[in-house]
Amino acid sequence: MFKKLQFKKRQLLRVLFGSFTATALMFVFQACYGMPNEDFLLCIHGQVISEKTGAPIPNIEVQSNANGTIVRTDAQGQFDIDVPFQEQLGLTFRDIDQAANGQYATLDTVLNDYTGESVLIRMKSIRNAE
Amino acid sequence: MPNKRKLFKRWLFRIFRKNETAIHELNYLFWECTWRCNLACRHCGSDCQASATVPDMPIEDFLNAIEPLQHRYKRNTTIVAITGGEPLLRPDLADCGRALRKRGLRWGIVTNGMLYNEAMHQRLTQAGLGAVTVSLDGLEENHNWLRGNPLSFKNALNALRIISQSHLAYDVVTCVHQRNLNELPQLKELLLTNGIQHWRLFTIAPIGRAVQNDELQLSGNQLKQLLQFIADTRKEGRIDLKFSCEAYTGDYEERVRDSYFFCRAGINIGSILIDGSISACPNIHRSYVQGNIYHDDLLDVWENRFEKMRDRSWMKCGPCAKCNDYKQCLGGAMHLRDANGKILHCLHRKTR
Repeated sequence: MFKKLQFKKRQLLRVLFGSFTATALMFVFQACYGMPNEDFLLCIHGQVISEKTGAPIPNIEVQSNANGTIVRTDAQGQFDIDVPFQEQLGLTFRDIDQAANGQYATLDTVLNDYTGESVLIRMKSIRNAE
Repeated sequence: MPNKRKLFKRWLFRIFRKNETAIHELNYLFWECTWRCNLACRHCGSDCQASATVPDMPIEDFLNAIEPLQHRYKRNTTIVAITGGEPLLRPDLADCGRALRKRGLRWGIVTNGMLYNEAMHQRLTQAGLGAVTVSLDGLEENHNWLRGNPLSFKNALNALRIISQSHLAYDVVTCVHQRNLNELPQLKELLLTNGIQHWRLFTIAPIGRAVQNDELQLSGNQLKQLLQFIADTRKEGRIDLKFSCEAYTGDYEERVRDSYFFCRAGINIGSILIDGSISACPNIHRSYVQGNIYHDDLLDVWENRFEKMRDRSWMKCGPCAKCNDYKQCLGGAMHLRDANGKILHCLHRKTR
């Protein structure tokens, strides 16, 4: 019991250090012979296709909800986006050129525990959505 | 007044360090996945060999060992640093990385860059690689001399160009010795020209192969020159440069790093060595091994052993016994202690 209380006190002290003393750098450390432990990003690779036809959709805007990064899909509908390292990664897909490559409804999606494999995103055309 | 402020900050840091030691959360786990290496560097502190007879550790063994950690810590709080030997020699490295990601672990590698090309970069980033450290030990002639391979510089620089243009967290590490000390300003310009922004400097510890080569050790004045170069470059602000957290540097502490010297070996840093040994950092003398994953529970070892790393009062011996800076330094880094606990060298003493 006493040990548990001691541990909680120490955890609290740790939070106080982080909050009030601007010593955040002390928590993000690097082992002397290791690699950096900060600014850790993940690159999500994927492709956006039409749900109806399976054809790749170019020029779709892909936005990370965590850090606001925006990229667009290429001619093959493929994209790479750098996002912060989190268990749940929220992405928004928007059709920004409207009729040019068909019209698609905006799609919000969450990836859980992304492991690096390419993700396949299927977007509904507005006509289908209706 | 500034002196009072400095003293207050140092006092605050010591409380923080004591607290971290008591909590001892395992945040950084080295995995010595192979002893094989494609170089034979003059300064290598590892026991690896070019044609190691020791087989690579199967990923399943490592995953089984770290299983208990996942019940103890929240996901994503631990980073796995894959090291060797040269980790890129493992053909299943991407599979290993993917398996770690699936368990909510962040992972990165420490590499000499010899095998790091575009294809390798794609393969590893698609397996969730998040951070890389590449060694570049001077301009071409000196780097290749230290690494013992005429292609080493070219390959390492190529790796850095690929990595620095990607999303990866990265840095370049340079081991500074008598031959490359004076070319650090030129190396800085070379890095900047190639878009490389993160740089870390080391001295070479007299361990492993480095014991046999005096040329690799800096004199007191040379060490001061190095620390002054780091302090000046940081002030200049063109590149993110720091001195590695390998030793206490006395009056230079506030000027050569973002935070104070804190040897976290056995406090936040652990390692699983090629034979399954559980240690603090891979470069610490093997007599400080605390257990073995093949017959001990990693979490149990982490929680209940490592006393020597968490109570360092035993380090207050020899030159440390009378040192006024002991309370700030706590006897220096664990990897600079021999099997008998004797300090191998003290950078602070050298600079005085």
